[in-house]
Amino acid sequence: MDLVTVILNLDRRIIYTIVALCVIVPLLLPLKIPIVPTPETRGVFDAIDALPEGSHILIAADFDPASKPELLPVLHAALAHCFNKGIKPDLVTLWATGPGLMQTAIETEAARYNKEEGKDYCFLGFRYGTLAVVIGMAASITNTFNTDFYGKPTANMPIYQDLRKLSQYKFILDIAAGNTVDTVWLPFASQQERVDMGACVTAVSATQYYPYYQAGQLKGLAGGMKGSAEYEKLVGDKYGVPPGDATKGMAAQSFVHLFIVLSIIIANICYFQMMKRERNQRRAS
Amino acid sequence: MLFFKRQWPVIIAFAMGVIMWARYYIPTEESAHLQDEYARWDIVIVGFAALLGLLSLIHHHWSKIRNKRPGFAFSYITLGAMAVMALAGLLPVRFFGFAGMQNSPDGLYTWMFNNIQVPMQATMFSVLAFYMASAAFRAFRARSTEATALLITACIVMIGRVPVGDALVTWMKDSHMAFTIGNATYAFLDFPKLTEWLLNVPNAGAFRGINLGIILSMIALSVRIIFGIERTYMGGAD
Repeated sequence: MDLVTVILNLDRRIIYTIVALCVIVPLLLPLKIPIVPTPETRGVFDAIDALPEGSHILIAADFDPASKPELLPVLHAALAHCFNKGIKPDLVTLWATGPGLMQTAIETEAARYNKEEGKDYCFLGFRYGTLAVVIGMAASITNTFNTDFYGKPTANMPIYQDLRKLSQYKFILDIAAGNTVDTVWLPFASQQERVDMGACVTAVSATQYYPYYQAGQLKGLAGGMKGSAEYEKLVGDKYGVPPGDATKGMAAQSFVHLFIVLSIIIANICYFQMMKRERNQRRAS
Repeated sequence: MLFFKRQWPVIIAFAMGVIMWARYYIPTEESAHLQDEYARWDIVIVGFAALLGLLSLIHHHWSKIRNKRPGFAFSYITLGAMAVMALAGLLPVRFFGFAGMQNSPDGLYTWMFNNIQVPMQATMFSVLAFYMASAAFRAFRARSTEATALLITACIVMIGRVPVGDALVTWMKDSHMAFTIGNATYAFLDFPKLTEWLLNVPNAGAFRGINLGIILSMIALSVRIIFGIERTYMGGAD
């Protein structure tokens, strides 16, 4: 059996083993690959960084545990960014699995920066209704979320003394795994209420939001784990925040991507060799 | 009785559709108040829809258990897990071994979410990486011009979207595998720049067209639902 046939018929378990090694080895070794932020991710960072101290922003974390490796790091970085700048974030989610993930992030970051719930931030949690929730917030935030995630009434919270409606937010950041960016937040919150917006999305869905970024409807667009790592770098360079999980995962992702590219190239070379051989055999016979 | 099954839902859909469409063009306070009221009702109705989904799930799995259809053992696990998770979230008690209740960080519900659901759901999604690698090796073949273009684009974007792409560019520039135009230096294979061009030019253009098509289809579908032409939401044939 020649090399071409061996490669083309390679047992998939060998491929799985190589992928597993490409993930595990870089995570164990202290590999550091420099990260260069793209203009799209810089747009999100600059939009939030330009806000004055005391501004209110809305962070919508619409993702589930399946997208946790890509999007939870950028939630941590965004919260660290807000707390370092003295910006007051409100956290909501339109996905039922969102609150559990947000709870870990907000409690960790709030404890690190000594922030008080109800005064420096508010964790509103989840409500059914998706679009109805956004429309309700446009009218009154405290009527739509009359209690926060922990069951405390929102009407008397210090953070809501001046903040009543969605249009009073200075920025909306949607950290999304689904299509809430262009079907919910962008048309009904950002465009209708005239609030600037940015998005941090999974790599798979990032491609469909470039038209909105180019039109200026999205001030920035951070896609995938690389986008999260770029945001962590920007926050780390300016405010000294240590790198998070996205930066640590970049080496592993790089190795896996390189392996997939190499396997496509090698497999296609072997495929063309095999086709050439079959053509020659047909001519000979 | 047939009137309430067939005509009444269509009348409600028509009335609500026309009212909410007309409301958008009436810039008065009463119109805005109507929208807020609609949003409140919608939240309540969706909550009931979630309850309906829950009852439907219980009915499906219970009938599977009762009739002992293949895989009914998994139905026991589904219903049991659902009951445990629901009780942990609803009951205002401290479970044995946990300091907190319900939503608190030390509660059983939070522990089960962070230590069972999150790892399991993340693992299921992570398995895709292995399937993708296997598919890339065994099935991605440049059999036609389009397939070749797709593969070349995929390789450029895969390298350009990881830090290795930036590291390669730096190495090429340091190794003089680059050219200069004016004051700017460009590497011969600048994967990040090529990726940026691919995403911002052909990709954005294509998705602009796709999004326009989707939105036009949604408008057409909405008009059909409002006027009662499309009745699949009623769960049967027209």
